[in-house]
Amino acid sequence: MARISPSPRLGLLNRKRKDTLFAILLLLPTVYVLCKVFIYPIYQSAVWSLFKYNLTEPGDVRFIGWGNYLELLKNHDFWVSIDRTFYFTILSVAAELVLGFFSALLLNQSFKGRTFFRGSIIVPWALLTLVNGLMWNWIYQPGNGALSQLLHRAHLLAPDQNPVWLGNSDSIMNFVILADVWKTTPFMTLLLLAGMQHIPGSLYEAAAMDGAGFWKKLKHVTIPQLMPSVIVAVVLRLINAIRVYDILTVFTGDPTTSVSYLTFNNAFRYFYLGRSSAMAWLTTLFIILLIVVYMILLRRNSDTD
Amino acid sequence: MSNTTLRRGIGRRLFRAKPTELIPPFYLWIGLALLCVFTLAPFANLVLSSLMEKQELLSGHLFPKKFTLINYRQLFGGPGALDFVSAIRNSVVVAAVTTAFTILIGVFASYALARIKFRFRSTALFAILAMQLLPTISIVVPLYMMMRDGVTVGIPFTDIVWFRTPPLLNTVWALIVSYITFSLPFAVWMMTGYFKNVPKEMEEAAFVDGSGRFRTMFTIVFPLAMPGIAATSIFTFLTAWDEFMFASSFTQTYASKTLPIAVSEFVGKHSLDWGLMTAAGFIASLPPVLISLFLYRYIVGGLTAGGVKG
Amino acid sequence: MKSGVKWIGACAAGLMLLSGCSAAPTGSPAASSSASGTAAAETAAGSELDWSKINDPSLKGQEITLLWSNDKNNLMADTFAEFTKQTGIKVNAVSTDYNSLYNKISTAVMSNSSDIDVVEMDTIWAGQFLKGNFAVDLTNVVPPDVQKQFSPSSLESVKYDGHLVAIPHFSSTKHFYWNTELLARAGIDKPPVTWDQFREDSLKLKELGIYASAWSWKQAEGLVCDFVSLTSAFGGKFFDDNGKPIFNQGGGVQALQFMTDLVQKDKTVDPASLQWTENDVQNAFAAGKIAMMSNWEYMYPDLDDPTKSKVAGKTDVGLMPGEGGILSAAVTGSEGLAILQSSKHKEAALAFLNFVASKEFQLPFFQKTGNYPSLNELFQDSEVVNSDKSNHFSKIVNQYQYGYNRPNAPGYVTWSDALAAEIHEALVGNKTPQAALDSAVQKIESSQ
Repeated sequence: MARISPSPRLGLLNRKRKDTLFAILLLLPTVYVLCKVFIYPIYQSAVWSLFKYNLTEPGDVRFIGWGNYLELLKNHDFWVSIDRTFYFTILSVAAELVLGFFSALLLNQSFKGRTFFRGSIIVPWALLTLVNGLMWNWIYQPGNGALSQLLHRAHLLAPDQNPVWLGNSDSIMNFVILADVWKTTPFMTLLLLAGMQHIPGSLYEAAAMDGAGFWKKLKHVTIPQLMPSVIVAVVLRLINAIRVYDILTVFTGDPTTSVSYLTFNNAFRYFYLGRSSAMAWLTTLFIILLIVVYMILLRRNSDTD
Repeated sequence: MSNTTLRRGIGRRLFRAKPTELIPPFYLWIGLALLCVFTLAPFANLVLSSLMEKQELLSGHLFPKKFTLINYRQLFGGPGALDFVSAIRNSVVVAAVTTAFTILIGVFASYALARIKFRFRSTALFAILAMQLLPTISIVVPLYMMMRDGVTVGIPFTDIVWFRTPPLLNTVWALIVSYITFSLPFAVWMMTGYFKNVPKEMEEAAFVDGSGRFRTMFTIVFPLAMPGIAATSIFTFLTAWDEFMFASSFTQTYASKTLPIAVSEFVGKHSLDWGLMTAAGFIASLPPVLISLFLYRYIVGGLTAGGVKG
Repeated sequence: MKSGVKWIGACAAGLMLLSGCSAAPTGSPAASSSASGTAAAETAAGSELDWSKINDPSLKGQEITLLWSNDKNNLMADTFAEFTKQTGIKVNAVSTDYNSLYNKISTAVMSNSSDIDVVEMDTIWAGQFLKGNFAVDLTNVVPPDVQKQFSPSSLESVKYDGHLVAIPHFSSTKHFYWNTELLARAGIDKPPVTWDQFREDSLKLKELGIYASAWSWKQAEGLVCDFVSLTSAFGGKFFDDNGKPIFNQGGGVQALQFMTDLVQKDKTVDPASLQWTENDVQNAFAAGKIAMMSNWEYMYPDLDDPTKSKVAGKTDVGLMPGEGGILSAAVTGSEGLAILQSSKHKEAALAFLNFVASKEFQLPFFQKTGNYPSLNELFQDSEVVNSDKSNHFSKIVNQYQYGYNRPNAPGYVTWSDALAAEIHEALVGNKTPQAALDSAVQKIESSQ
């Protein structure tokens, strides 16, 4: 008898309220933990970025407003590191996209041994980032590294030539990009492959009937159909690439090779907590810009669905 | 005459794609061969180097004339062996506990976000997404101070504290707590995608049978989304295994060093002893490589559901 | 679009919430400055350390952790076991690589971690260790007659501003090594005594297709070390007596010009030098690939060990070249062991330092790792001298008369990082030596 509610509308409301309460209960642990270890620290670093706060000079902590930010905007090293970070990010993501796209095309066909090939491309992705750095560092060793050895054997390098691939920070960036492309192209491939599997074969058939060849099919069928996956994959990679840090520590001691490296050194080598927080926030602003773009693109996608 | 037709026939099969596909077989196999070389050659170089003696490495051999396990023996029996083994142990503990904790509290949040309609739901989802996108570097310093002073349980943004742990720096707990900052938003985001895919009808049928939300969650939604939960666990485990920045800021001694740290110190300590270093690198990568190969299906499924549809 | 509005609304609400209670976290920087107040209190406690109590039986069973980079293969384990046998204090030696040592120590200090008790202190960190409250001030702890036992240069290297920050555990400068076989092949019967001659000899070696030298010129402290050696050899000064950088004048510029010429013009240097540290150079030398190098003394045992080196028996060592009126000049690199403020076993750590200041430690340390003693009497000790079978002991010790120190003011790490970056720019040809050094001076002055 109690199951019959006085009015069906009220019962619905009741259920809704109960649901909301239940949802809050379920969300509570996650929300609490994230506030604790994420929201609060991020807020704290925003506050610190407005202070002169050097751990090595504990007596001299004071509010300096935008001082850290203004100083950074004038800091040569900071801009060099920003420049290199963007160079790395754009080049590596572009290369990964192109390579990943063509690898996905290959692996989307049906052929004997497909499982083997699909499985083998996952190996680079599963390798530890640090080990990837170490492995390429070994390949790039002057003299006995595999790169020099191969070039010598292929007679692309004269026997008396022995270039130092990692000699200066600008050329280091190119070699880091190669190493990063090797490791993360499989991720791109898998994402794009997932998107490609949703393209019906009949579309290609129709295009083939119109006499379309490889490039025409690509242009009129694959690329338009794949666009949503491409956007997601590129933005995900962009956001990760812009944080590049660990692999660089293997290749060079020069912290201006990436913003994260420079920030990390400022925080944990010199203990300039205020300045490094400001640096992190400036980087964050760049990334927030990317997030906004990401969300606009996502929204546009879900609108067209 | 018949010879040329035959040849043309083969040519057509080799150089023309099937109507439902894109690439003609000839180019397909060229492409696959290139892909295979590009992906596997550097890795093969790593493995082969770890099987060579120092002299061979220094003279620049790419293929060993003589295979040796001396590097592995030194890794597990030499002076640094204990440190390396403790790094393996720390990595396992940190990755496993992080994964367990993340999944344990993340599934409930994901269920709420995927299956219950309430205000601010999409707001919450966006916030979770935004958290994945912010750079780690901006919270590493405050987290460092938090680990230094001990983690408190209380109300954030106030001075109310119910419980304070001892300082966590240089313990595996510092790593576990800090890894949750990226693993939890990621896991919630991904599992929400999976839970959304569980057909509504099944849950509603259970409601009609008088089953409450709590019970349907455990009896219907979680079992059906098991592959998704598994994929999320794998991803969380692999990211925790790979993490470097937090690990290098929060550890100083072997009590809490993980494999990436151990490997990075190898570079400085044993410079040019590439045999030993490549052996260490190979061992450190073995678990994630094996996991990815054996659980390939789940990973691909995870990328599809979590990444593209999200 | 609706949820977008909601999202912005939530953000705004969140920001208001945050700004509403901004008072709480603003206190946190201040709060940690009060934490440093407690550190100061601990300093006072540090001075309660008593040299006469190091044999106190209550120390038995304590364990101290030592963080250092001098013994990467744990060769000293037996010696430490001996110490444990005598005192009952266990030593847990953790070894790391030199280039991450400073970061590890400072992180431990900033975190008030008591996991590490004794650390290796390079001479250049003395100021930071003292002023930053990293290490216990030992000035009044170690009795003067104990301090007098150390060689003046090694004692000087662990002092800042008259305060003793560590116990010197070895003496060190850079030395000049050469491969006798390769020099002979180029018709050079004597090692160069001036850098000019070094350059000529290098060109002779180059004609035979041999890299004359290799250097530790990766962007790190090793690069600054070589720059200091050369600057001093060319009659220049690194910093003046008031701690002002003046290496962008005279000898400093000449030194960097010389380094750049070797790399860019003569091309007699193994180009890999630009990504190498001291150990990489040692390995190249041990493989017989280079004819000459400037490196630390501890490499000799390994270079002379036929299982580790192809140049055993073909190596010689002597004075670093000079130039003009300067006979020889080498950067010093003596180091000490310091007790961290945050240690909970300071008295046991002091007992360990007492052990380090004895022959029982310094003799095996010399025999096993090749690091030279810091105790005066050991330079004449027959056991020490005789354990060097290749008869280069006197040649190494001879170099100690021509040592040049780097400054050890608190800001040195920052300065050196800036300088290393600029020198590297010049070496790869992105800047002229003068421009690079000017810019380094400017960076150092603006951070002072």
